[in-house]
Amino acid sequence: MSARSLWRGITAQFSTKSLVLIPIAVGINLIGGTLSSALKLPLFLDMIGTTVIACLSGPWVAALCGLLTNVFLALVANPVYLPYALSSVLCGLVIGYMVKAGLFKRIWGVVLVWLACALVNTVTASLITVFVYGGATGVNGTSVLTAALVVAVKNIVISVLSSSMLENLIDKGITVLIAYVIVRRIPKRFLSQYALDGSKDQDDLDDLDDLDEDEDKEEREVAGVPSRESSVRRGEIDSAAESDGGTSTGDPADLDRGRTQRSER
Amino acid sequence: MPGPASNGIPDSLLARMHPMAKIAGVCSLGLATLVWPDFTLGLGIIVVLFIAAVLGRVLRPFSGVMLGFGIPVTLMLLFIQGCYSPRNTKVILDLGFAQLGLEGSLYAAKIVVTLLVFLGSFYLTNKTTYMGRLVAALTQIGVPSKIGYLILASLNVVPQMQRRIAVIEQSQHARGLETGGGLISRARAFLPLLGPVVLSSLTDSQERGMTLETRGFGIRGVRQTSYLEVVWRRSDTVMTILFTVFLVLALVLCCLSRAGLITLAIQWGGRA
Repeated sequence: MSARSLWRGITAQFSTKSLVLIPIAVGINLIGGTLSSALKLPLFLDMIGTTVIACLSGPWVAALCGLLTNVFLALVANPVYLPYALSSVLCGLVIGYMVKAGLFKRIWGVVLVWLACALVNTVTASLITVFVYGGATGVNGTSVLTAALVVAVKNIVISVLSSSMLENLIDKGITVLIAYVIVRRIPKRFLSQYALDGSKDQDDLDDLDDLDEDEDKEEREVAGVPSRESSVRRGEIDSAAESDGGTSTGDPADLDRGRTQRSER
Repeated sequence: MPGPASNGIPDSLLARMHPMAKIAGVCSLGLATLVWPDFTLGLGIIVVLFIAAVLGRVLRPFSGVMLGFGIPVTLMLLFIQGCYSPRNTKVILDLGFAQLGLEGSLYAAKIVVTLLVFLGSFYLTNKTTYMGRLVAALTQIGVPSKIGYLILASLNVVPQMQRRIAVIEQSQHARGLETGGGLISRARAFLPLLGPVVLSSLTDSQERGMTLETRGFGIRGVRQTSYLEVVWRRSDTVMTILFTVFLVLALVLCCLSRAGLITLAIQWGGRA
């Protein structure tokens, strides 16, 4: 792909529809953080919006969203968060491209997204913590963990890396899971309007048609979470999917296999 | 809570300054501290920042932020770098389980001071600038107005979403959702609270997008006008020149000291 067509693909993602989504996604990011502190959960959960927008509008919009989230955090909460914009941007890009490759539709793909995101975030955030802040920022519990590890292993870089890895694996796992559940609940009509931007082929739209197929499976997995408020709408979507399902495909399993191979290629 | 989105900024010299001049100040002071070989210059700048906070009538929140961030991070870094930095050679304090080294402590002090200068000047800029003015100033110097919209819209969306989440929390309470109790039940309360907020905000954004489109938001090649006029006054020019001269001076002195022509850094604990 030449540089020019790549650039055109990137700018095509920034339609007005996607632009108005960005503040919302920034809001979701911050609300996730606020909620988890209000419910006294020991997590950040400040990348839910970035993940959701990566599924809706593409990698570069997600990257901009990550950047703005950190700028906003720096403005209202603490300027310490500003350098971590780099890791947010990289995470947005990684998630965005993995979603584009079709990984967000299968459980193993979601697990891959989780691991990749945690890895990227661990490496960049630790590098920032070590080189900008000298090892600790003192804004959360991770610094205490780092200090404890420094005493144990006597090496600053290793202890920052391992405390950051632990924190990121848990945090990003829950973030990706929540984002996955949310994306599944977004009405298909709403999703399809974004899929047209920035994707040159029809593949993405075809993939979106299949979103409903494993919704029941998904429903069982998150059965612990009450979801009555969306059950009415879900019923409507399911019946709609069933009504056009008869005309479109034969065996969904074959389709899945084909797509799996394509995304691995 | 008077956030930066509301216009509750006390009138002062700092508030009347052009936002761009303030940003130039943040960069110049921060970079000067960064290149300076030890922490003495940063310490001086921090004192100046406190005086500026008095002038800007934001001393109370300013000192709250500086102390609230400064004290824990100083302790942390003194512990991590001071005791375990690989470049430690001279021991200045024996804590029993670890030894506080001179070089690591100086390094920690330098980082803390640099951080505090950046943090403090950024916080002062933020507290004394109305966001609308900042965005107007940014679009004046050629930043795309879409970026300006994104910043302002994010600032507005968040309080709006917080109000919405309060409503949703109450209605989920009315349905019998538990938001207290053990970790598991609190975690389970997360999704029923977040889900409706996200979905209704997404629907909102659709309407917002259409509204903006009908008002010509997506038109290219035109200059949007703003109700907010930010004037660049002579005092702003003077301040910008002062900041630039300060930065250049710091850079030159630092280069000279690297070249070994003059000594800037105080040799703590005698010559090694």
